[in-house]
Amino acid sequence: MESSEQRHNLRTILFVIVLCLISSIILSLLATALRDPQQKERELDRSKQMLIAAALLSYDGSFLIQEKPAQWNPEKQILIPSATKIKATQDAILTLHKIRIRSRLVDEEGNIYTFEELNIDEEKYVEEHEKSGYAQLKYKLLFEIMPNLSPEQITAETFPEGYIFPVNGFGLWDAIFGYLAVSNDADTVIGGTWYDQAETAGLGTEIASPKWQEQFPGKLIFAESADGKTDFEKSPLGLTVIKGNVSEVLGTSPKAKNSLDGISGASMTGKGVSEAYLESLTPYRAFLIKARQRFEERSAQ
Amino acid sequence: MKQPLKFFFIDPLWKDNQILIAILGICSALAVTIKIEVALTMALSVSFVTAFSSFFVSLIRKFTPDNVRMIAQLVIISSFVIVVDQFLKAYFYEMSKTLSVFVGLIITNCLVMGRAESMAKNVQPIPAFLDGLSAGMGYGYVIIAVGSIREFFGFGTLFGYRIIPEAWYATADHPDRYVNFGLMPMAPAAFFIIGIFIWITNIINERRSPT
Repeated sequence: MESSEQRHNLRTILFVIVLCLISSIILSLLATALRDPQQKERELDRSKQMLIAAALLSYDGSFLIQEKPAQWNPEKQILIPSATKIKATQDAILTLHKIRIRSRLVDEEGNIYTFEELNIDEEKYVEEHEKSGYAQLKYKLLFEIMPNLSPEQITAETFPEGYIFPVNGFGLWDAIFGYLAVSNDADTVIGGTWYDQAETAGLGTEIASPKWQEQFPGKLIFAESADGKTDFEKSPLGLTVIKGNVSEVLGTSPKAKNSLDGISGASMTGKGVSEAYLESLTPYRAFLIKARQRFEERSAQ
Repeated sequence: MKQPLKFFFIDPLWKDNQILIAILGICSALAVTIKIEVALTMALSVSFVTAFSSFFVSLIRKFTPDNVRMIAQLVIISSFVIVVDQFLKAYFYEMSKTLSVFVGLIITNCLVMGRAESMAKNVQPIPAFLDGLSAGMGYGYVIIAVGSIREFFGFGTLFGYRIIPEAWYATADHPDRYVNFGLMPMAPAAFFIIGIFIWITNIINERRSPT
């Protein structure tokens, strides 16, 4: 190699190194500077997704009480009905989330604990297990939906309106994360969302669209048997994405209540979603059975 | 190439419009023109990336070894795309969720690389910046126009505001009333609309200076 060629190559290598170095430094500084706002946005989005699943927030950003528009009352710190749709503010969303969504831990036998009782730091617990999922842990994360009461009126004994389960699994390309809100009868679905997915745009990403999620309210997570009874101990647990439309394929059969419309062109994503529900909910069976018992006792009163 | 500074800015807006004349940057037009708000965000992002990457490509053009020229352009373009992506995730989270992968795909947008290769590496930084900026803006107004048509006929809204009154829509009781044009939210609609725009552009140019 001639000396001038060597020099040229050296210059090229030096150029590339310097360019990449400058670029990386600038981007790292930017990422670090923006980390906090990004984290806040992600948390806000997470809270929003939970509230949407629990039917407390509509997809277009206004609060709901029983599917009707509502607004935040800051003095009493509850939701009051409103005549028109009012866009919820960030602060209201975060405050409502703090008041009405209670995080708890559930064990294999279905007993509920607070994070303090078990001496577990919630932030660390979430950070550690968020990506891998909570269902297989000894103490599984669960959220209770509190009724529309002021913070002073909500006590440890307040009966929840429902429960939110963190669900996770694997879609076609990458992990998927979502929430499934179930009513306090431990069977009826209130709503479901998928807040983190990297599926094919226009196909698999439908699972995150309001249109597809509209079918969730009213579904059941426990499979009903032909005689209309539900065996909570043994029946399969979860929601299944089928091929085609539930109303066309299953009509009025009991299976329809456990099934979700398929998305054409996204069958792998659908399979991933079905499996995610199965794997994420089954470990909570003991808890759901106990919750059902509490519900039946309460209704009998 | 010595020409007054202003032509660097004016030419890519119509005479050398990247979508209508050079037929570049069409791919992203499919997914980001569903609604005006999305198209606008994309237009601003592409303008930002093209303007600044052209500026820096031009700035280092005398030091860039020829055999790593394109890679160097890619590094610069990618860096600015990441800047946009990080910025959106921090301050416009909902929009970044809607645009998802398409912000990252600006790196592959032929328009950006095209300006770097054909203009930025040959001219000085300020003209390069103006050229990049207006190439992005030329791209921008075309995709916003496509977005307006798709949003209006596909959803009945413009920029999120309802234009076609709810009362006009068909319901179970009145099935013969207005229905949104179901083809519009789908990708092929963007193709057809852009095709028609290019056709109209050719007609206009043909009339102005018959070949």
